[in-house]
Amino acid sequence: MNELEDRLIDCFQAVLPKIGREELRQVSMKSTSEWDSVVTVTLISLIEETFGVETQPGDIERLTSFKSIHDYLQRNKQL
Amino acid sequence: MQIVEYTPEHFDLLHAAALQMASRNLKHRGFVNHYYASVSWCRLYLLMAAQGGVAGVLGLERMPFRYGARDMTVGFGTNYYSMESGAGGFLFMHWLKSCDVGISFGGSQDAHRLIRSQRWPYFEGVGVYLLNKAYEVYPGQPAWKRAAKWIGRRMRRPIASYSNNIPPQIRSRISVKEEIAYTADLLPRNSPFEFRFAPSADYLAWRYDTRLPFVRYRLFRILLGNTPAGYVILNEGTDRILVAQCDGEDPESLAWGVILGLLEIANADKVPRTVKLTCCNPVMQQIYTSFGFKAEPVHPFALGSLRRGMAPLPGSDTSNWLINFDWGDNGLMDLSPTLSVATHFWCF
Repeated sequence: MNELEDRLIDCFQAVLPKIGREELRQVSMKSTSEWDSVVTVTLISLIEETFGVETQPGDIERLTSFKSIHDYLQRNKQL
Repeated sequence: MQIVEYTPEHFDLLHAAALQMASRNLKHRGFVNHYYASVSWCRLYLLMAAQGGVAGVLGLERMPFRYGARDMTVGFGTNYYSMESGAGGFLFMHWLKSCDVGISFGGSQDAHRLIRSQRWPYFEGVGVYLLNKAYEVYPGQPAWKRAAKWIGRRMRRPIASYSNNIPPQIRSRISVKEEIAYTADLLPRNSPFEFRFAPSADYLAWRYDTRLPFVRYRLFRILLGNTPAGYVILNEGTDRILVAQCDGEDPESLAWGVILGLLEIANADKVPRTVKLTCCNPVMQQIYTSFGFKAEPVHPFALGSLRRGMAPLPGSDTSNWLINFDWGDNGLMDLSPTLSVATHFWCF
């Protein structure tokens, strides 16, 4: 597990605390009943703060799963 | 998922989605196309699900405000609906990233749940005032409450009958004149209000268009002697009038100007119409209550921003703010699809 993935799991765990760390890699908005609008907003804010990125309209609505956010961060993370 | 801007070609798709929502005005083609597809500063965003169909909608009006000496864009969210769990969050983020400050005035319980989770500060002091309260009866209310409301309704009287509450010296100093067109000289040169909606005449002409077929806006210039002192726009329905938007050079002439405007349009009423307005300023509040308005529970009013230092600080004194009721679609919830253009022009 790389550092990015580890920190991203921390973010997901903060907003979806009932889901185990291993399972978090598979979560998506569609497959997770606990993922509501409050989770979406809190998660995006947390990711922006943790990784120093500023999501833009056009990108935000594609961040609907662990994988899509991971891929987005790999492309956009401030190094 | 993808967010797309509404265009008139989307109306059938929107209408199908709107059947699942509580919104009445999203089913009204004239409303949607005027307010969400005719100017760049007010748009409707459709959140399209990956498999097709609308997963959520958000109307967003970017309103020009002035806070102290600073101009800012305040985003007023309207028709905020989410049909899929989590989807509303994307529209919420889109909202906040599209303006300096987001405003919530009215709104659904779901919207306020989200706003509270983001710790938007709520501001006290946005007073609601009613004249001739409607005393509506709701299903399941006990008999004693229905009886009390019946008595309350019987005590209402036509608006003109309150005119004796205007001191004679006010009528000799302050007057109103009805206008159809919005011109720059209607706008106050100096406003005493610290936080206020500060649109251009063109913006007002779009937002409170006096020629719309589905809502009747009436515009009055307020005069102090012969000098322009502000304006008031009234949203006139058959059984209620809303003080939609007003601004002026001093609180006293503005409040009396609002009242004189009301009397102009309700002068010949045989039946009592309800009047609703919002007000934060104590001088204006005192004038409204002296005329006959009664204070109602305050409206929740929240402001939030992703940008530090933009929004007024939590706990700010709101007594010098100018908050009007008919912002966003607050005054456009009960559109009458039967109000025709012919009827509309009849009053002129």
